[in-house]
Amino acid sequence: MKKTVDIGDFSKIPFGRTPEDGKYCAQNFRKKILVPALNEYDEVEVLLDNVEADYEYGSSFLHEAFGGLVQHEKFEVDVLDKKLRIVTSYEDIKAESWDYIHAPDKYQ
Amino acid sequence: MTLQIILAAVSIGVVFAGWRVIYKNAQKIATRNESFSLIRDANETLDRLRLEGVALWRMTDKDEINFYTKITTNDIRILRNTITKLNGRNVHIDSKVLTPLRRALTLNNTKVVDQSIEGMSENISAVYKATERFKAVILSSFEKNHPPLP
Repeated sequence: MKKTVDIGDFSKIPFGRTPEDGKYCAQNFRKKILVPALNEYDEVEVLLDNVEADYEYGSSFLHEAFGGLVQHEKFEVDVLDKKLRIVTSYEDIKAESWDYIHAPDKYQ
Repeated sequence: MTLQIILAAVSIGVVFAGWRVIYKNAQKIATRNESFSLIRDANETLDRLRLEGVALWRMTDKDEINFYTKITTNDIRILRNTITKLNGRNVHIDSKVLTPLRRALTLNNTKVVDQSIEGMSENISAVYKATERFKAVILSSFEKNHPPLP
């Protein structure tokens, strides 16, 4: 079964790494939305573009949200390669998110 | 009479061909100038980002992080829009050139007050490298499409 996660349902201006940085931080997004979806469904599609107009993601957010799946939640990279789809019209955002999944420690 | 008609037709042809060459050259120069104006805007944004980046990594007050993140990500968005405009003008720039810049400005910036002097220096150096690299990439893409004028 497939689950579509729209980040816009979480926040239109996601920001920061941990709850110290704010409620709509990457750690909350990962723990409350991404991890349960990945545990429950065979395929998870994450839509990143439904955010405020002119909003730009920060690298900390992408690292914590996606790299954190491997670093903190102990998902296997090859499992994520199969299960997770990151959907955005911005190739750089997509490639950077996958960089963090494949080598989270490199950017710590 | 026939000779006069032929000469008139040839003259008109020469004038038309000349006009066409001048028109095409003017169009090429105008396109080049318009694209270069976008490159100049991008360079100005990059210079501003460099100053913002240095200020960000020298910050001692954690409350200012949100402010600096907002202004730096706004400028990254401006660069993204410029890349889109340049791509529309056949100056092809891969948006992945934004990644090192975004990393240099926003990766772990919430930990700025806890960084060591060495960390600060590395972070500032990364901002310089990323902005210089960006400038080199856009200029080289521009020159591929619009070689320097003789």
